[in-house]
Amino acid sequence: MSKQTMMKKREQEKRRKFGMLIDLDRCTGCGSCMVACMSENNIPFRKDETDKLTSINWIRVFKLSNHKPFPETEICFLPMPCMHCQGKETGHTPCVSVCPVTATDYDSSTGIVSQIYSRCFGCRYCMVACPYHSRSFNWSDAVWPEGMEKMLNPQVSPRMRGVVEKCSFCYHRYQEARDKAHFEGRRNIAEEAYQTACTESCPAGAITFGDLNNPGHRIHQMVQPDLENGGRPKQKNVFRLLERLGTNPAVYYSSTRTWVRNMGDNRLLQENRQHTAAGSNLQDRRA
Amino acid sequence: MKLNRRGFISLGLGATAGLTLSPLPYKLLDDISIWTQNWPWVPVPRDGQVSFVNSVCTLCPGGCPITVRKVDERVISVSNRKETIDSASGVCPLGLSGPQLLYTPTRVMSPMLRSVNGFQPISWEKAISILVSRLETLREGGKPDKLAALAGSNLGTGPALMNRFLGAFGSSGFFHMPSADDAWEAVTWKLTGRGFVPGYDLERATTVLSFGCAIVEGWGSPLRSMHARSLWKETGTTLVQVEPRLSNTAAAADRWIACNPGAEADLALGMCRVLLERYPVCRDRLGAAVTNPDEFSSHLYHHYSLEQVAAMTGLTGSMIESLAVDFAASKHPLAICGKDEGRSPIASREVFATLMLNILVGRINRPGGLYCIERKSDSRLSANFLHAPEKVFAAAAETSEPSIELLLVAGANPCYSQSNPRKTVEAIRKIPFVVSFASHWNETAMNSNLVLPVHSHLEGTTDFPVYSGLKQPKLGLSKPVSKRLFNSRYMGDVLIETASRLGDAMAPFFPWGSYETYLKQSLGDRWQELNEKTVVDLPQPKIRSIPMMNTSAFHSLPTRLTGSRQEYPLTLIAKVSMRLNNNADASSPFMMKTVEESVLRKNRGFVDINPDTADEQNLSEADSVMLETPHGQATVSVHLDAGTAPGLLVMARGLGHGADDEYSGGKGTNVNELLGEMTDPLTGYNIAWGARAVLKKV
Amino acid sequence: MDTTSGTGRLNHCSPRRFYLQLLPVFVLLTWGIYAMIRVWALGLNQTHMNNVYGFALWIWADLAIIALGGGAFFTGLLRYILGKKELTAIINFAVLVGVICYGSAMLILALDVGQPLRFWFIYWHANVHSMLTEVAFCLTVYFVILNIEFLPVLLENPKLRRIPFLKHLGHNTHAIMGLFAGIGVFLSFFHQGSLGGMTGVLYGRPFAYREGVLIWPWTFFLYTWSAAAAGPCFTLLTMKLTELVSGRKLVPDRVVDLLARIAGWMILSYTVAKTIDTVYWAGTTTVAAGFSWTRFYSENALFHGYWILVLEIIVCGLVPGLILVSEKGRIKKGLLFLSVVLVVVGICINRWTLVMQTVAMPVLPFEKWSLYLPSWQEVATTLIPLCSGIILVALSYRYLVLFPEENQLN
Repeated sequence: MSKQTMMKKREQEKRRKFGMLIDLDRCTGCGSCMVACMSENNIPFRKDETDKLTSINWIRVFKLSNHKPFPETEICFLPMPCMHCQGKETGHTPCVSVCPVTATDYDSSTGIVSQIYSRCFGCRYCMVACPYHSRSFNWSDAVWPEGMEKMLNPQVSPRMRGVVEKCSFCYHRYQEARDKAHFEGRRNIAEEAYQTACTESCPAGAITFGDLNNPGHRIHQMVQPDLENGGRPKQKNVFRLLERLGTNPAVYYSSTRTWVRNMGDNRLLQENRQHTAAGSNLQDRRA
Repeated sequence: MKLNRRGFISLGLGATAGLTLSPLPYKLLDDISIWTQNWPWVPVPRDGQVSFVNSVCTLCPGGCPITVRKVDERVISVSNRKETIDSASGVCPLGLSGPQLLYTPTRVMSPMLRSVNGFQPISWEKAISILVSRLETLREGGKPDKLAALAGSNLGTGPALMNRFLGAFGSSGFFHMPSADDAWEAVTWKLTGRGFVPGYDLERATTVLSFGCAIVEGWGSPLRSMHARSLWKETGTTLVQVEPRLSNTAAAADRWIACNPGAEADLALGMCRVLLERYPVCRDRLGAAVTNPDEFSSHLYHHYSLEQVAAMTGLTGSMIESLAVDFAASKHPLAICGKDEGRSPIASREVFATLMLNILVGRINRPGGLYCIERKSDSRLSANFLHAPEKVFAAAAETSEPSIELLLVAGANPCYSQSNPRKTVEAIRKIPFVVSFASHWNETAMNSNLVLPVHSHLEGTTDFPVYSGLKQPKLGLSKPVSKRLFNSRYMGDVLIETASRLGDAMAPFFPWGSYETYLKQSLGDRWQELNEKTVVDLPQPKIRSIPMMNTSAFHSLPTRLTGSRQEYPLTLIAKVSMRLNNNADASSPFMMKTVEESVLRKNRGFVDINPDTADEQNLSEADSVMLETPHGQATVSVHLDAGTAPGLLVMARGLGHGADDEYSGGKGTNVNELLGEMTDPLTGYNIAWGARAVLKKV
Repeated sequence: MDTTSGTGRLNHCSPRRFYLQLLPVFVLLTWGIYAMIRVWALGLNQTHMNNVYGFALWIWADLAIIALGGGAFFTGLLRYILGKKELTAIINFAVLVGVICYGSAMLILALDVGQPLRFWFIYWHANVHSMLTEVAFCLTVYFVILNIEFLPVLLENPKLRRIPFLKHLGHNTHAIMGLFAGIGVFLSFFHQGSLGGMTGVLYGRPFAYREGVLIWPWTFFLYTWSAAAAGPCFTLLTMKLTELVSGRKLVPDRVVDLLARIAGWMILSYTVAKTIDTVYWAGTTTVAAGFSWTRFYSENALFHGYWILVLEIIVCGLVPGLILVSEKGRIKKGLLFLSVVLVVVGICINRWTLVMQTVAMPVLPFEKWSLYLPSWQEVATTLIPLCSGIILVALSYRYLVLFPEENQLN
C-alpha cells in the first residue's frame, strides 16, 4: 500500500460520526437513561429538583401526547440528549459558532460537540442558540451530601458554578476505548467498546449508538443517513427533530406512529394537511 | 525626582507602562482563571484501579443481575454489561441508584437506642445485651409467645433464620409483608389443595392480556418484563392492557382497554362466559379442571352477562365479546394479573378469574402460558396466611391484652407501606419494645426503640430467591461489592449471637459461627456456582397438572368501596412509576430528580384528573385542593390529564416519606394514608386498590 | 470638548444641597451595589434566569444601553466628520452619556457571566466566528476611545488645568479628536451591528433569525441604524432632563432642532427598512422553518402579542419619525420631546423582542412556553447604570464644562 493510500485510509478511518437512534415505540419513559447519565457524568442534584428549568439534565425524557380526549389519548416518551449537530456546513453547529471563547467545538473526527468547562466563562450564548435546549447552566455550586462524593466518576470532571454543561456522548468512554485500542495495537474501535451510559442502561433497548459513517455499525443500517443531503435518514419511519432548520443532528428517532413523527418538526397548516393526509392527527398547536 | 504632583503622575504613568510590558498582569490573569478551576469546594474524584464486580440487585423482588464498576474501593456506577451487542441489557433507575443508597448519610451507622433525647449511638455489645435481657424477661415471665417478628418476605435464609429463632424461642409470631405470590398461593391452595405461584411464559405468548400489570413500570422482575415487551415488538405479540388510565404500559400496549378500576375480575369472568358460550372446547376444558362446572357456568350466566359486565366495567358489550374472541383465537394467549408492580396482594377474585381464563384457553403449563410453580417448602413459613400485618398490628394495639411485647422488624417498613400508616405507627408505638434491623433510616426505624444497622445491598452476601412471575425462578447471590462503610452486621449474625447468649434453650438451634457459614451450608453444592454466576436457575417442582378445583368459594361478588357516592363522587387510585421507589423505602436523590413536574412541585404532590372532570369541579391546572377519602385527607394540586378516566383521581405511590431526608422527605403524600384498608374475604390481606374520594376547595 | 468661551462660571448651589438632592440616588445605588455583591458572591441563582431564559433582563439592559449610548458616536460623526459645528454645544454631553452607557454595559456584563474572572478568554481565545467576540473587542476598544474623547472635558476642570502637562495633554487630544471620532464611528458601526447580529445569526431560533448579506444578517444593519436614530434621541432626552433639574437652558434650540431632525430621518428610514425586513421575515424566513409568523404572537397574547409589533413599528417608529422630520412637528417642543421619548421606548422594545421573545418562544413543537419575571437582584443591579449615570452627569455638570453654551443661554 502506498503512503498516500495509507494516509487516505487513516483519514477515512478517522472520520467517524457518532450518533444515536432512539426507537420511540420501545421507549417506556422509565427514566433509566436520565439516572445512568447522572451517575456516569457526576451530574449534581439539589434538594428540590422540581423546577425543571434550572435543573441540570444532560438527557431529558419528554412526554408527548396526541392531545385527543379520553379514551383516544395516546402518549409517547421522547428522550433528548444533545443532538451533536453538524450544522449547515461542517462546524456550523448553532452553539459552536456562537461561543466567543471556543469552549465548545465540533470535532470532525468523531462528530461530537465538546464542552470544555475550564474554558467556558458562562455567557450562555450557546444556550440561547440551541433550539433543543440541550444545554444546562450551573446556576449554583453543586453540593454533594456527606459521603456521596465517593461515588463521583473520576473520568468526568465535576463542574464549578457559572459554566454551561451538556451531553458529551460519554466522550470519556470514547477516549477509554481509543486508548485501549491503541495499547492493543488496533486502529479500529469495536462497536460494543464505546457505548454511552444511557444506551447501556436502557432496559427496553430503545437506544442504539454507534458510528453513522461505518456501514458495519447497526445504527448505519437502521438509519441509512444520506450524507449528500445533510444526513437525512433514508430509512422509513426515521426522523430527526427540527429537520428543516438544517442543524443536521446526530440523534435520530423512529416511530411507526404518524402523530409522533409529526411532532418532530414545525409545519405550516397547509403543509400539515398534505403531510398527514391519511387520517392521522393534526399537530397540536396552530395559530 | 521631586515629590510633587507632576512627579507622582510621571511615576504613575511610567509604572503603568512598565507593568503592562512586564509579564505580571498576564500571569495574574492566567492565575485567576486557574483558581476558578480549582476552588476547594469543587470535588476532584481521585483516579484509581478500575474493577468490575458482578452481583444481583436486591433492592426489589426482581433480583436483576448487575455489574458494579469500582475505582479502587469506591463504588462508582451500576450497569448490566451485555455479553454481545444484541443481548438484553439495562438497569432500572432504582438499581442505578445503588451507589447513592450505599453512600447516603441517611444510613444507619451504628446501633441506636431511643432515649428521651432522641436516638443515641451505642455499641453492639450493649445493643445485644439489651435485646438479650428483653428476651430473657419475656421468657421468664412465661410469655415467649409475645415475641413477634416481621420480615419483608418469606424467602431466603434471612427470614428462615428469623423464623427459626422465633420457633426456638417458643413463638409462632413470625409474619411477613404479604405479596401477590402469597395471594396466589392462598387462592390456589384453597382451590386445589396445592398452593402455587404463577410462572408466566411472557416470552412465548402471542397475546398477553394484562389486567393492570405495570409491565414497563416495574411489574414482576422489572428488567425481564421490559425485555419481554421489547421482544414482543419484534415477535409481533399483542399486548392488551386493561387499566382505567393511560399508564406508560397502556401507552406501550397495542390495545388499551379503559376498564373501570376494581372491575378487572369482572371483565375476566365476563370473558369466561363468552368463551364458554361460544366454544365447546372451552366447556371441555372447564369440565376437566373443575368439579362443579355447572355451578360455575350458572354463576357466570346469572351475574356476568354482557350487559352486566358492561355496566360493571364501563366498556361496551361488543368490546368485551371481541376481546374474548380475539384472545381465544390467538395461538398462545396468556392472561396475567397483579396490579401495578404485582407485588402487593391481589384480590382473590382476580387471581381466580385470571386462572380460569387461562384454563379455558388451555394454556396451563404450556409454552407461552401460565406455569404452576410451587415455591420451596420452607417458604411457607407462615402457614397461616391470615397473618395479615394489618390484623397483627390491630391486635397489638389493643391496650387491654396486647398480643406483642417485643417485635423484631427486618426488611420491611410497615409504618409507610401499610394501608393505614398512621394507625400502624400508633400500633408500633404501643408495642413495649420494637427492634428494627435497617440499613437506612425509614419510618419504622424512626418509631422503633432499638435500631440495628445491617449491611446495605452492596455490602454483604445473601441469597435472593426470585419468583416474580418468572417462568423459570432464579436464585441470586448478592456480593460484597463495597467494603463495609459503617458499623453494620448481618441480621443473621445478630440472631446467632443472641441465641448463643440466651443459653441452652436456643443455642443448639444455632450451631453456626456466623451467618455466612449458615448461608454457605444452606446453599450446599450450589455455593460454588452461585459465586461464579451470581444468578442461577432455581429448580422448582412444577405442578404438571392442577388437581380438580371446586370454585364455589369464589362465587361471591366484589366488595364495595366504603363511603357513599353522594359524599364521595370521585374514585382515587394509585399509580406506580419507575422513577419512584415503590418498595417502602425512600427514593434516591437521582430518582427524585427524575420525578415529573406533573407529579411533584416543590413539596406539593399532584393528582391526575380528567380535564372534563376538572371542568365540572371548576379546577384548572395546578390548582390546590383538599383531597378527602373516608380514610384520610391531604392537600394536593391537580394535573389535568386526558389519559385519566372521567371521575378518576390518580396519585403516585412512593411519595410522602418522613421529613428527615431533605432530598426525598416531606414531599407529596403517602397515598396509603388515603386508600385505607380493604380486606380480602379469603386471604385476609389488604387489597385496597382505591378509595372513594371528593375534592374540596382549600 | 471645546473649552468654554465665557469668562466665569454660573453659580451652583451649595455642595450640601447638591449631595442632599442626590441622596435618594445614592440610596438606590447602594441597593444596587448590595445586589451586585450578592450576585458575585452567591452566583447567578440570585436571578430568575433559567435554562430557557439564558438571556434575560441584563442582556436586554445591555443591548438597550448600548443602543441609547449610540448618541456618542453619531453626534461625533455629525460634528467631526460631517462638520456640523453647532453640535459643539452638545457633543461633550453626548460623549459623557456614551461613557456612562458603555461603562454600565460592561459592568452588567461582568455581572451576567458565570465566571467573570475568566473574562480575558474572550480576547485571548477568541472565536472569530462569533458575533459576541466582535462585540467584546469593539466594546472594549470603543470604551477606551470614549474615555479618550472625554478626557479633554475632564481636563478642562480648572484645578486640573493648572498642571501644564495635563493642559497640554487636553489640548493635544482635542486637536486630533476627529481621528478618534472616526475610529469611534467605525467601531460603533461594527459593535452596534454585531449586537444585532448576535440574534440574527441564530438559525436555530426562527423568531430571531434573519438572512442577510455575506456573514451579516439584516439585523446587523438595522441595529446600527436604530442606534444612530435612538442615540441622539436619548442624548436629547437626558439633556432635557438635566435642563429640568438644573433649571437652566443648556443647549440652543437650533441644535436641538438639528439633532431632532436628523434623528427623525434616521428613525423614519429605519422604520421603512424594519418593515421591509419584518415582511420578508414573516413571508419567507419563518416559513422555511415551518413557522407561520402569527404563531410567535399568539402563543401568549398578554406578554408577546401583536401589540408589540404595533407598538414598536408604528407607535414608536413611524409616528415619531413623521413628527420629527416635519418642521411643524418639531416646533412644538412638547411634541418633539414626546417623539424623542417614543423613539427611545421603541428601540428598547426592539431590543426586548429580539432577546426576550426569542428565548421565550419554544422551537420544538412539544415544548411549553414559560414566563420570566426578573428577581429583585436583577432589577436592583439594572438600576446601577441609571443611578451612577445620574451621579456622574450631576458631578460633571457641576465641576466640568458639559455644555459650552450654557453661560450664553442663561
